Amino acid sequence: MSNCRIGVYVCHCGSNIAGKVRVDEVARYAKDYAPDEVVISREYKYMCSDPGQDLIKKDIKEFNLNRIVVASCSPLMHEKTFRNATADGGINPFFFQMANIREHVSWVTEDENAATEKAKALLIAAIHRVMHHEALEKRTVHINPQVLIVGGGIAGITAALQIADAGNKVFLVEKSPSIGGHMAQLDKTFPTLDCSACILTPKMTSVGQHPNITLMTYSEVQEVNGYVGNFKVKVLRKAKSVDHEKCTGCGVCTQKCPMKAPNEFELNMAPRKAIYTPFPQAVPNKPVIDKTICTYYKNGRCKACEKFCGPGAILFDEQDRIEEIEVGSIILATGYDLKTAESLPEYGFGRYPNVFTAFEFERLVNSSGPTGGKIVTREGKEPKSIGILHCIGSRDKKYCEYCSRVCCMYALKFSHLIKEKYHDCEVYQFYIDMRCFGKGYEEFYNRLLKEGVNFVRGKVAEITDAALEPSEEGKLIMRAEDTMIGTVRRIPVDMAILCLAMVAKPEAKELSHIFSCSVGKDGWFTEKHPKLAPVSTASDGIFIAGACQGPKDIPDTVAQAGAAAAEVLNLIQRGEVEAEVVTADIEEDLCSGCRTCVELCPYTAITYNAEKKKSEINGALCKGCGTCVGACPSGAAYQRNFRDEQIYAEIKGILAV
Amino acid sequence: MISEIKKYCRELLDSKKVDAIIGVSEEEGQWMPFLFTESSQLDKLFVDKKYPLMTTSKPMKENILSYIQRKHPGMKLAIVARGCDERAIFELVKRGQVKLENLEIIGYACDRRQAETCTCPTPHPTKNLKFGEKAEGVKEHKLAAEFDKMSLEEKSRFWHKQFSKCIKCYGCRNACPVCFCKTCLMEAHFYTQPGELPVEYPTFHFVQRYHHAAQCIECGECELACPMDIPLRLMSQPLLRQTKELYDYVPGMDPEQECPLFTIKQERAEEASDELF
Amino acid sequence: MSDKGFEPRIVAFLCNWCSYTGADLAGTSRLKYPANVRTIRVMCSGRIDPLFIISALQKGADGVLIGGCHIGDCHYQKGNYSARRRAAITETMLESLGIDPRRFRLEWVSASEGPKYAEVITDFTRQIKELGPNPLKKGAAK
Repeated sequence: MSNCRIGVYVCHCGSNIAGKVRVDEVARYAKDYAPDEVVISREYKYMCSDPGQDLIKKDIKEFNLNRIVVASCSPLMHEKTFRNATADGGINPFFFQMANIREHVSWVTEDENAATEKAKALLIAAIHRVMHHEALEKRTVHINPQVLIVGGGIAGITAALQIADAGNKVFLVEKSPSIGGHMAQLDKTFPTLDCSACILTPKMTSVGQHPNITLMTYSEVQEVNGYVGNFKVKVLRKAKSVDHEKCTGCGVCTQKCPMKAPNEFELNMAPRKAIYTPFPQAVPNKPVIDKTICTYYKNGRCKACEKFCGPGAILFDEQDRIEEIEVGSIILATGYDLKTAESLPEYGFGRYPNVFTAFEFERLVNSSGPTGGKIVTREGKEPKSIGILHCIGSRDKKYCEYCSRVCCMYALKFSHLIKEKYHDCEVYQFYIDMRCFGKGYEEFYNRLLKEGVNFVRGKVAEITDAALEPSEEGKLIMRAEDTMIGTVRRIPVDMAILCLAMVAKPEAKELSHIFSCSVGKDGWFTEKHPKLAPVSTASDGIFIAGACQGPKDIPDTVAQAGAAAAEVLNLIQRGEVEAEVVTADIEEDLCSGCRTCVELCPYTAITYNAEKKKSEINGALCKGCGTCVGACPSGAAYQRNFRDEQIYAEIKGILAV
Repeated sequence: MISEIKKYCRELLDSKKVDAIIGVSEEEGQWMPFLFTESSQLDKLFVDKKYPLMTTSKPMKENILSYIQRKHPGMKLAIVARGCDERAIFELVKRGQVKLENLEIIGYACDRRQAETCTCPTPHPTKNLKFGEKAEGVKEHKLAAEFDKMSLEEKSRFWHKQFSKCIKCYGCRNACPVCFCKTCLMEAHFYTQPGELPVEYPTFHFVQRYHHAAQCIECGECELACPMDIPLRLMSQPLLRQTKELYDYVPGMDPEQECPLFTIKQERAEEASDELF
Repeated sequence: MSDKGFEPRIVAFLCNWCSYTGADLAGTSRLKYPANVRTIRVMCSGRIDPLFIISALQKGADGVLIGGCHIGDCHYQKGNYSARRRAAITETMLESLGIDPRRFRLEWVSASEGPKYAEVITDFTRQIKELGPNPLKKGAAK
């Protein structure tokens, strides 16, 4: 290209390059190779130093250069430096190309001749390429300071409070009628044994009262559009059938309601009404009507709640509605489930009444639970012996290969709570390994060893009620191999507690599509980097916190929520972020609308415009991988700074030597 | 068979079930596509001569079906189609070029002799066969047995010889019913210098063959069009065999089936089982 | 047929995030490998059109290497899946053209695998030397 005036700079990098590559020869070669285009070709000791950069700036002015090529180290190291120097010299920073003759040449080559030849090839490739470069503009994206947090468990609550306390508006979306999550169901927390509700309730109340937090309970995110800084979110606000503005939360409606249903919060071990608040400390502490149970919705009669409601807050006609909000960043804190006990038939849950899940036991031992804190069998009797079964579904190739991380500790906690109430009760822990890795955890385990709990190293293979001898009659028999003594044992107990695996929410996959992030093989959300970006996702501006990323205990969850909040605050503080420059786009005239590219885009940045019969790329969503460009049969898709012409020029140049 | 087809078409037009029928007609000794709108025109409908009905007309940059569908949205159309025409329609549907809605495919089978002319493996429509009996297809290219036995060196020499004949007429591309791009990379300057012969070997031909790796419907038009008798399909067939083996995909069989090069859905599913560590 | 003293020219397309960084690491670790490979940086292995490969071969490369992130580690989530599918087709295509498919290689090299990069280059260079000059080179054809 005759209008190109290229300046070529070959760096010695002290002796790092010059010790192996004959830099003077390379610089001369470039000038001789393209005497018309290469106006000036220099070698210099340290190009990245200030005088080195000044050389570029000065030459641009003096020789009226419009392209710059630097042969030095890796572009990952100094591309930015030289682009800035190019820009300071007065030409667009993208009229610059770098040849990596240090990491890819001088440092890895033994022979001086071979190194010099290779350096020439890489330099000539850069010269060919830079001729096809075009001016590109840096783009920035404004960050909307409003934040969406999905999930009102301890992770969502922590993050919401931190972000709101810093003065930013937060929308906290929770699927159920109250925030609190699983932590609200727990009795005590390990290893300190402080009461879960006592530490959680104040936080829940703060959320409810916070002027910067808009609480959207009984709601679900349906659709997310946009990109970092500018998300448009559709939230489904399910009809509560109660006007929460008017409702005073007096609870008369709940007393008067004649219809009963199993209470999910109590794991169906107690009833609730059709109009209900899930638990006494709920936030908001105002009821919703369960339309599937309510008589009025079934046959048009009753309306008892309406009759007794002083403020007239009952709204039978309320409909589900979609609310649209605009936010700049999103935190997913959607939590986890326990594996369903029915999916492991060998443990007889449902078949044997006195097989309990861990959560059932949490409620049983909780003083606000269905039994008022009394540990009793389903028949209401005090158990004389209890088996606690670790790793039910976890660390099991058949079910979940991973360790659920919290079971050992809460199993110990259960033992302690049982022993506290019934000192004579025999407690058996059936474990594979005791994993007590946290602060104060091992100490807690040692304490339990002294409290008279029986530890059996072996996983229970089966629970049965088939007695082989009279002492087993009427009991649940735990069949386990005790690996300490190498025999199979049968231990009869009155009650068995299953420490079920923590599993990803069944809706996690769907959520991953809504939020364009990914889930791993077990359904947990995938972090951007397992070590260095543990709360980021592949989608900029969308973060994850808590157990939706993988099993974790409360301290880790809270720490992650704090980290996610810090990431969000960082974005808000910056106010804008630099957008990717090397994005792809589609030349409209050339596009034949074949849609080859649409499905290949990992960021759903490409949409098909049916009216125009063309595909279109949303530049804000594009991250610049160029997969669509590699697939486009018409050459309509192109990637900035990685255009076909540029790469072909590079291929041509690299093979010219 | 032709009289039955005509009878059927007449009924379609007379009963107003369709507004027009695309078929092949003869005008002054020339075969050409024709839009039959009146049943009286049907005397001129022919089916026994091979005509690349779905081929994109280069000046129009569009094929007939797509053109009519765009010009007359909502028009109820039928098309008298061979197996290859149907496959071409299905491939073009996948690539957003034509629509199946408001389109009846009146499929008819070719006989064995016709299949041999085109080296056609599936000489009948797979979804819309209405007239004629399925004849057995020709599974292998006439040179395939010989070609498959060649060593790499022999293959390389074979193609050098074949492509040295190429006069860069673009006939293979122009005749292809599944080529539809508005601009063609076979004309892009970084692959091929305008006006230069011999063609850049092998990029020139590679462009089309690669683009059709999971798209070629084996209609044989490219070879029939080639004035230099270059056996182009020998290059495509291993690719088609591979897509069949790897993804159980045969182009043109089902408009719903996704082209394996358009999607990584399978990998997304596999991801669940992929060992990450 | 390999000439003594035949020094092949190999073009390597490396993805920015894994393979190119891995190659840089080989450099910072001062690992030594043959100088026959010349690198072209792309953002993702998914950007690579098989036509790049054939074009490099046509322009005189004796071998072409594609380096991408390991499956599951793609910086752009799925780009290397596309690269893998295209590579399979490219191999078949090369073979049917009479070009030894061993002249083309797809390798996953992560940012931490400097030694692997050096090994891959050493091995690939050795293989290309065995295969001899690329028959597509001008004058090589009979």
